[in-house]
Amino acid sequence: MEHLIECKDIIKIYRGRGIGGASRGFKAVDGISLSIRKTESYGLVGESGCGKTSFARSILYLDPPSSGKVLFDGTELGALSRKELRGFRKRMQIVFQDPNSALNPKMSIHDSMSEGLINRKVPETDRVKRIKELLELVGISYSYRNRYPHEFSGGQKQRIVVARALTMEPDFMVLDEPVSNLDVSIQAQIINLLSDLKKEFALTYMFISHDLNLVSYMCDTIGVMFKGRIVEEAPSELLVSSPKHPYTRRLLASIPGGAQRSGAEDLADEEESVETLAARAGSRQKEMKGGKACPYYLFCPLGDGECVSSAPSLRDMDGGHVVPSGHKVSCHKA
Amino acid sequence: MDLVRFFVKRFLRLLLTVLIISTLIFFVIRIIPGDPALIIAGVDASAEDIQIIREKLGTDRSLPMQYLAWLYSIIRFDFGNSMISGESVTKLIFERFPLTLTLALMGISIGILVAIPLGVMSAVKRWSLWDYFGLVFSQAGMAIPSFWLGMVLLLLFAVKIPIFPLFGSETFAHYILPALSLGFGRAAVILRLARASMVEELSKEYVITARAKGLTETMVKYKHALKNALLPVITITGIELGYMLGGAIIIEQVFSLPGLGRLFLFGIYQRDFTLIQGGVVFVAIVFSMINFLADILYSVVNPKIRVE
Repeated sequence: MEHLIECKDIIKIYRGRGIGGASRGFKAVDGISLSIRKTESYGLVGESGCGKTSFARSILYLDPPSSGKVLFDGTELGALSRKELRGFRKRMQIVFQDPNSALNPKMSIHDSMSEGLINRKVPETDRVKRIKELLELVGISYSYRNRYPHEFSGGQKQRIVVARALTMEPDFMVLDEPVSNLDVSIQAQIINLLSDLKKEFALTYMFISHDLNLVSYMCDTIGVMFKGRIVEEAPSELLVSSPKHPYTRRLLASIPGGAQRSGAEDLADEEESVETLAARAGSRQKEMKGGKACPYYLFCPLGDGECVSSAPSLRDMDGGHVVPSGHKVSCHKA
Repeated sequence: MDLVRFFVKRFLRLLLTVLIISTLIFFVIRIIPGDPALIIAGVDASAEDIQIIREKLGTDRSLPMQYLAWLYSIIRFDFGNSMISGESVTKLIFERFPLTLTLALMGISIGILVAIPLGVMSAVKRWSLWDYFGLVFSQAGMAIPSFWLGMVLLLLFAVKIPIFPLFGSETFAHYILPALSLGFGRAAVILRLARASMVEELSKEYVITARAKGLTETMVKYKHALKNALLPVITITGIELGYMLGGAIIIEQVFSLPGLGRLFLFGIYQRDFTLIQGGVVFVAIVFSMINFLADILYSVVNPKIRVE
């Protein structure tokens, strides 16, 4: 199937700025390449601060990448003029983690929703119709349209944010931890809503989360991120049933009941205590200097000299199968 | 309906503030050692003379009676007569108030006109030359005392290059230099706040959402972020204006302007108790009213406050 998104070697560096001039930059995204097929759900997992959000904002060109290419439905976003890029915006939307700050507090939800449509010169009757349909679709009464964001609960706000994004009729939606700020009881509602909407509008999702469990439920493919890189990528089933990268294994082992679900029998034995990890990281800190080592070496139970001398790159794990499984791992030991 | 209730609540708060301040003034004046009647009459006065003055001042009555009389006089906006000149304190204050009001309004206007564009530009072009200029400007504005700036401005633009008049308050031109010296420091404070507030708003996700809607950068920054960023600026501007309406003692002194600040200063020199207590209550009322107006304005432009 055709790819909607193709990213090649995306790097995002944040320059430290302060009085006195340049300081060292921080590499939030360190050379990620990935592709997402049309109507696929791609899940991006990793701990907070690993660069998931930076990566998402980069590929949407909301905060352009420092280097690398993004092809959106065959068009290279980086090559577009500002004006052309604005024209593309409608096709890709984003839902943020915190619904409280995602809506302008000074605009009624109707104004927030209609703004993008006005900008695209959609006639008023169509605007009203679409806003009404979408609000009702996400379970918000149209009669609330003139209310302001603070008059809604967190879950309601998130539904409004989703409806707002859909007014643009996007092909691609980035869901950046859309439920982690919500109560557990509301989370399921939003997740189900997102699944339904995906079917209804044939959307392509990039679902960002630190919750591997949730992502494996929602997504067709999962990419595991560690320190700005993808360390393992595979179809959800495969990733959960036979995780190859030690970091993925650790993530799975840390989910309650994750080991049983996984089928990777040895997983339960691998769960290490925080003390063990910290002790290992402490003793390996020195070896990491020079910058050649695998970023995960610091915590890795398998690491040896090979991992210090060179960082692994993402490689196919097909092992001679005729049909490619799509399982990719970045580890010398896998 | 919410809005009306909010206004009423704020107005009651204003009244409460004025009541508390009036009460404090009343007791502070009475705690200060020394009988005002004795001070007025002088050391050689006879007991009868002192008694007459006491009756005139009302200090011969019981404390609760005096307190009620004091509150009643505030309601009528009648602060009694000056102990020195015998003129009505209310009249003295209102003679001086137009000058102070003009100066304060001009000062705050200069502050706003300089600070908001500069602060917003600093935030939008963060860490650029613009921003450094803004930061240096605000640092200077806070560090340079207004009297020094006033004297330098007088020296430069009234003495060396005489484009502005030196002293007096007859024409508009007389107000420009004092308003500049007053506004500079205010601008510094407002600039800092406008910059910080704009930087904060620009980092919020609704700004990114606006960008995702395909709006132009101008729309994103000025329609979305700026409107929210200006909210705290309203409050601080109200407070700054309130301060200035109490009279700018130093600037009035430097430019020999007969404003409220100097009136109260001379009242203090001459131990004119009625003038001082009337002045303090007047300033408190004006300050509370300005804050009340700022709150109203804030609530009109910010839909969020009304519900809380």
